[in-house]
Amino acid sequence: MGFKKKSAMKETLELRINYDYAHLLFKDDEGKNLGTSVRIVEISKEDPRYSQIPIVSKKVKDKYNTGFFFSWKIKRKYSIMELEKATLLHLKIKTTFEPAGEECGTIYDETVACEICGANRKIRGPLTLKLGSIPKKDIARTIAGEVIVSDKFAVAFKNRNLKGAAMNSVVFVKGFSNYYQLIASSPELELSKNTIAGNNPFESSEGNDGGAYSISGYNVDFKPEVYVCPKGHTIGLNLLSEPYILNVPSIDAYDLFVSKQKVGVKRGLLRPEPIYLCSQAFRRMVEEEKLSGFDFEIANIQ
Amino acid sequence: MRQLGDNWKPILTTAAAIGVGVGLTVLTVGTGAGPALLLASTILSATASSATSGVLGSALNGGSFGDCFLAGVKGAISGGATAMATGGTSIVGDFFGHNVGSVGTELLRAGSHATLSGLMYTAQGGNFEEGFAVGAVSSLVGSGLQTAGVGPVLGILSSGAVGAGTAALMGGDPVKGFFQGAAIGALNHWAIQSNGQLGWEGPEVTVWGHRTRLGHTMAYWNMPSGAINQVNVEFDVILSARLIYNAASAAVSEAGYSEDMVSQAQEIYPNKAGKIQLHHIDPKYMGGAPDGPLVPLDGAYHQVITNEFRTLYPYGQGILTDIERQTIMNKVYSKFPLPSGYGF
Repeated sequence: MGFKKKSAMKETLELRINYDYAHLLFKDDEGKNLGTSVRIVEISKEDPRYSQIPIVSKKVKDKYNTGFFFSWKIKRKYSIMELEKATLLHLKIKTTFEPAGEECGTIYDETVACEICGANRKIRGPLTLKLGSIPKKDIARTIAGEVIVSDKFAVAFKNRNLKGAAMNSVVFVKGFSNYYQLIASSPELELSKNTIAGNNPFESSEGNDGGAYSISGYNVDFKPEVYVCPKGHTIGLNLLSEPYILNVPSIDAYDLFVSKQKVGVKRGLLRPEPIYLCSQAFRRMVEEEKLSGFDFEIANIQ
Repeated sequence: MRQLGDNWKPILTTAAAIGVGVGLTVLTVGTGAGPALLLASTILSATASSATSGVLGSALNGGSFGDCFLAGVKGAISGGATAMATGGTSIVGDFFGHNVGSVGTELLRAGSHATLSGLMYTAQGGNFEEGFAVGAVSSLVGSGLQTAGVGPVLGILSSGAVGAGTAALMGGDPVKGFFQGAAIGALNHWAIQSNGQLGWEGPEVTVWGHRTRLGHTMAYWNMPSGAINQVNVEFDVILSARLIYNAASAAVSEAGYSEDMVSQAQEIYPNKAGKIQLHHIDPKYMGGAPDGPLVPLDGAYHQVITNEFRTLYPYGQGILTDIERQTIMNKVYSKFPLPSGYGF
């Protein structure tokens, strides 16, 4: 799966392989061991072993009833020129934290959310968080997808006359807050069908039926979930390709956007989240002001 | 022997639980107790033995008074529910009779078993739907096999196997499903019949038995005081097997968790040692419900479990499917087992 693009961009997949079975596909000196639990291996799509990963995964599942890899992350590396030439960029937030707003007293109206996929709930009142849990970064997101930015970011965004963001003060349960919730105020951008989403790079499904499982002697309930919303709100569990955006004039008029379609799932505190997109001016601000917590990839306009 | 030494705590816990149960049965049952008193005393016995298991298990693992109390209450509810379910299964059999009735009767019987079974699973912290399915399918298959003239041994085992299969299909515990299915078979469809006396005579005791009007095999024996004691053979055999399985399951789960592991964690994180923290079994950042099951853990041990989760699945990785979540939890808890008897 994933989208092959003719560019200097190098795409690799970082896998956290089950240490016990890493030898089935990788040499002993490949990757980095984290104790005896995980071996982190980075593999490119061009590597012939890439296509073997789902086959080995199935064998490990069938024979040992466990996973070949536990988690994964797609990494894309661009040349400086590629990044500078892009009209639109995919803004990625590197730092995640908890507790989420809901755990700290933030009120959400779930009645307005999609009854199938849970997307598009509305916040009622200020985003409330816990002071001690906020990472020392200029941007971060909670596990529920609430995005906060620092005072430094807010000042820089305003001073540069950038457009497309509303910043509402974050309230802390105890103590004074100088953080803001970042909300895109520009028109939402539509993802095109070239945008690929799925469970992981090797598997895709529209949801799961849930069930009750005995884990370490305790019963844990997994509720049924929808990954692909028939109403089009959520397009999959994870974004696998670069985003592809339908061209509209507003792309030139604002500096921050969110996608109309979401990726993710309603599960516990998690909710489907939009893809964040930004202009070159936004990226320049981050670099020149040395704002932390940001990463950029290219978004394609069609 | 070394294994015995390593696992002395769960073995002691199980032995104490069984001892309390047997002791209470001897004290409360006897002197010609009627069926209602017999059932009540059996429930009391099962409740007390399971509560003992919970309290002792927590105490031996360094739990506070509150931890012990909670574990005891949970054990009591679980044991009482098992006894009531076994008694209830028997009562359903008595109510609908032990011969196959009309289609309507058998459907009602299956519905009663399903509801009772679902409630028992729920009371034990399990899944109502799983219990309901096991009860319904086992009862319907039992009716069918009895109609086909299948004998008691094969019939009871088949009901048990169907219960196990249904439980497995529902993602539950097949052994628990087997006991539920076998109980329905034994106490309803194939209540063992022994017309006349069983008869066994020892130096100071005479045992005899007969089939009651309701179809159960009752065994009687004379007490030294001259009183006559009695037990319902099928009922007690099945209930005992269930309670022993419950205690053994708890013991097996407990066997992996040790003070040594906690001590090792405390050496790494001395500042967190001795501080009890509640751990979400299904972590919230992976999508676990905020009100999901919690286990009290020593702060240091909690930290090593958190570290292990973050090693396998750090923030910023792809969102997990339900199978991937399950795999990660199984991996973490097989390395760092949880103490049993909590999950509140």
